[in-house]
Amino acid sequence: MMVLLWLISCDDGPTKLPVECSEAITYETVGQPFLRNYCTGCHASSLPVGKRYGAPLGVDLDTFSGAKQYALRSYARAVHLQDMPAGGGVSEMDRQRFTQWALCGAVGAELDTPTVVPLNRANSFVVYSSVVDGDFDGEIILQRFVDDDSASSPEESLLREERYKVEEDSMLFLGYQEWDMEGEAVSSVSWDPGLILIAANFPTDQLVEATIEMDGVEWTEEQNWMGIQELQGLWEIDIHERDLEPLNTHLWNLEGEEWGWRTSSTVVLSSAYGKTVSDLSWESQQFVGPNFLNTTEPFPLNVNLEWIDLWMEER
Amino acid sequence: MTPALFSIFLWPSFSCQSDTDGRVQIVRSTSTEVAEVWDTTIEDPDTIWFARASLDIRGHRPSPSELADWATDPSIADTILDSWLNDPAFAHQFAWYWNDVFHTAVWIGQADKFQRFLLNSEEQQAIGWEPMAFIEQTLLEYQPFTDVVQGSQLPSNPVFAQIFGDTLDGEGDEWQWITPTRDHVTAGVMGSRVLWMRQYVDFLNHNRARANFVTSSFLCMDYLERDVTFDFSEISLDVIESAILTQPECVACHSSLDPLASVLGTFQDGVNLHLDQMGMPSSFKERWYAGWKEPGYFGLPMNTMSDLGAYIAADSRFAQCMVTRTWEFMVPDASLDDLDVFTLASQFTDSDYDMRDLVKRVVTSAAYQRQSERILRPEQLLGTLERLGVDITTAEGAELSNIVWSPERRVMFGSTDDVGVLLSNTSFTVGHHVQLEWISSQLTEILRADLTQPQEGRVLLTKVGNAPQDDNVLAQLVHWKQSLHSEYVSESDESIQTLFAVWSQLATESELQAWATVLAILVHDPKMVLR
Repeated sequence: MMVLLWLISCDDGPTKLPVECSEAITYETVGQPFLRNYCTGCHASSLPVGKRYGAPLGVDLDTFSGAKQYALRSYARAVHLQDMPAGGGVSEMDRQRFTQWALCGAVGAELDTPTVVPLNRANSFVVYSSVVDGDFDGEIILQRFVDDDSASSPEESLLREERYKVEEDSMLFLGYQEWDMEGEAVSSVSWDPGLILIAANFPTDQLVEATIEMDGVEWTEEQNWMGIQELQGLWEIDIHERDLEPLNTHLWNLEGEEWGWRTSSTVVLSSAYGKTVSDLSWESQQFVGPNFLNTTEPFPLNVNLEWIDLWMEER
Repeated sequence: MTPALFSIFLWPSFSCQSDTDGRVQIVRSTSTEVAEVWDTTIEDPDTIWFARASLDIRGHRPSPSELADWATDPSIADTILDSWLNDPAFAHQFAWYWNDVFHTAVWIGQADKFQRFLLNSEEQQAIGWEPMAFIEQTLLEYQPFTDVVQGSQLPSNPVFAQIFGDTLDGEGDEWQWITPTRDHVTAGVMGSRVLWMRQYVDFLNHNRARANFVTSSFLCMDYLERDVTFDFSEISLDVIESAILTQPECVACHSSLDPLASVLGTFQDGVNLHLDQMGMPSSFKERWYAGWKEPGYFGLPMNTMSDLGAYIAADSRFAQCMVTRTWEFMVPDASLDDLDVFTLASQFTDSDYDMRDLVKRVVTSAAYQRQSERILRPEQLLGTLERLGVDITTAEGAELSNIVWSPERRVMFGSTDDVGVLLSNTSFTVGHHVQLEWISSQLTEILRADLTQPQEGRVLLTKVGNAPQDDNVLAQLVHWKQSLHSEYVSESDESIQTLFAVWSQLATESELQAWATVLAILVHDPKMVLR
C-alpha cells in the first residue's frame, strides 16, 4: 500500500503515476485476460511442481486474490524487466493495459469459473511385454487404473492387469485381475483358450470358457465374442498392426467400452474403426506416438503405485 | 437510437490533480475522443447507412418500399432495425460472416482426400455449411451466443443427415437442431462433424494447430501472432519436442497450448474412413491424447472438450472476442478501441450474450456510419439478386448460386476460397468487372424466359407485360435502380431518363436487347457491388 501511495503521488510529489487509470480497466477486462494469455500456463494453483516449468510454488495467478497479490510483481517482470513470460511476445498494447491495471490498484473481483474435477490420470496405462532372452514371447500385460463403479470419488480406482497373447495372425484376450487401492483382490476373469480379438477370419461364434472370480466366489461360464461385446458395451475397435520392431506392443481397453492394440514403435502402420466388429473399415495412417512409448525396456511385473506416479511425471 | 442511450459510452477516465494543501485526489474526466465513436443518432435519412445496415444484417439490399418508408420517415430506424434483426435472414447472414473464421463453405470440394466420395454440389454445400449452421441455428432459436461453444445440439438438414445418419424431425429442407443419437461432444460448434476435418490432425504437432484455431477463433488469442523468433534450421523433430519442454521461449506458449491441444484429438481424421466416421468423436482418442499431455485450460484442470466449451463461455476473453469479431465483420476498415471493446463486452455479457443487441449497437455507431464504401460480400450480392426475383433453384437461376459456392467466382468477387485465399480483397478490381459481365449474361437468360411469359409469371420484368407502355417501362427501371443500387430515385431522375432513352432506342429492334442492355448498364455500375 505504501508503494502504491508513493506511486500515485502527482504534480508536486516526487513521482507521478506513469499511467492514466480508468474504471474500464479491471481484473475482468484486462487482468485475467493478460494473465491467462501469458502466465497461468505455469502460474496456476492446480499445477504441481512437475508441471510449472520452474514457476515457484505458491506464486499463482489464476484467481483474483492471487493476481492482486502479485500484481506489482507481475508488472515488474512482464513490463518493467520484460523477462516474463520467458519467451516474450507480449504486445505493446497488452503491456500498456496491464500496467494500467496493476498500477491503478489491480481492481476487480473474483470471477465465475467452471469447476472441473480433474480425472484421475493414473487411469492411464502401463504396458509391458514379456521378454525372454531378448525375444518377445507374444504375451502382453497391460496395467492401468479403472473406475470403480461403486466408488464415491474419482480417486477411488481399481488397478487392473490385463493379459493378452499375440500370435502370428491373431490376438487373444486371456483375462484380467483387479485390485483395490489397498492391494486387496477384487475380481478376476480368465478365458480359455482366450477371447479372439483380432484374426484373419473373425470367429464370432466361437465359445470360450470364462472363469470368473468376484468377491471370493468363483464360477465358470461359456462366453463368445459377441457376448463380451454386449457385456462390455463395445462399439469401436482400434487395431494397429505391429511395426518391424515388435517389442513393447501396446494394447488397451478403456473403461470396458473400447478395445484396441497398438505397436510400441513410433510408427503405427494401420488402424481400424467401426461401431461393431462386422462394421470395421480399414485405414492406413502414419502415427508418431508419444515419447514414452519408445522404450524397449520391459516394465517390472510388480507394479508399485509410487513408481507409476513417478513415471507419469517424467513423461 | 437516442443520445441518452449512447451516453453510457462516454468513457470515464482518471487523472491526478493536487488540491491546495497538496493531497492527491483522483479526478474523473471524460474522453471525448472515444465518445465520438458512439455519441450519435440515426435521424438523417442516410440511404447509404440504410442500405449498408440492411446488407450487413439481412444479406440483401432494402426493398424499394423500404427505401420509400425510410425517405419519408427516418424515425423508423429503431423499429426497422429490430425487424431486420428478427428476420431469419439475419441468422443466415451472420453465419456467413463466420465462414471468415471457419473457412469450410467451399473447402471440401477442393480437398483431395474427399474426392473419392464423389460428393455432388448439394452434398458439398451441406457439409461446408454445417459449422456455420451452428451459428445460424443458435441465432434462430434466440439462444445465448455462448451456446456456440457449449451447446448440446447438432445441426443437420436432409442432405447432411443422409451422409451422417442423422434422424430429422419432420420434413422440409431447412437446417434444424437434432438430438445426437451417438457419442457427441457437448461443446457447441466444437462438436461439429465437419470443423475438425477442416482443421485436420497434424500427426507431428499433436493437435496444437487445432488448439490455436480454438484460441484464435473464440478468444482472439493467436499464439502464432506472438513476436517470438526461433531458429529451426538443422534441428530435428525430437530436438523441437524436447525444447518445448525445457526452453523458456518455447514453454511460454506450450505450457498453455499443449494442454489445450490434448483434448482436441477426439475427432478422428483418417484418410480411409467413411465421412461419418471422420466426424465421429472417439473417447478412445480423447484419452490417448490425454495420456500424451494432461489437459488443462490455461493452468486450470480440464478433462474434455465439453469442459473446454464451458471454460471459454465463462472467459471474459470470449465476450471481448465476440465483440471484436462482430465489429470486424461489419466495420472492417476501422479497428475498435479496446476500451470500447471492454464496454461492449460488458453489455454483451449483461444481455445474456444477445448477439442481436450487440449488432444493433454496432450498426448504430458513428464509426459504422462514417466508414467508407465497401465491396459487397458474395452472399450479399446473391441475396440482392434473389430479392430482385431471381430463383436460384430454377434452371435459369441456378448458375448464379456460383456467386457464393464457386471458389473461383468468390475470389473474383474479392472474397475467399477457404483454402488458398483466406483474406478478402476490399477493393473494386477488374475481377468484379468480369464477374458483373457474367452476371449480366445470366440475367439475360432470365429476361429471355420472362418475355415468353405473361406478366404475372415473370421473374425480373414484373412491372411490364406484353407490349409495354412507357409508364411501365419507367416503373421497371426505377424498381431495378432502387433494388440494385439502393438509390431512392423517381422516374424523373436523370439516371432513369438516360436508361429509358437507351431502352426506347433499342426496343424498336429487339425488346430483349433493350431490357438486357439497360439491366447490364445497372449491373456494370460499381454501385452494384459497393455499400
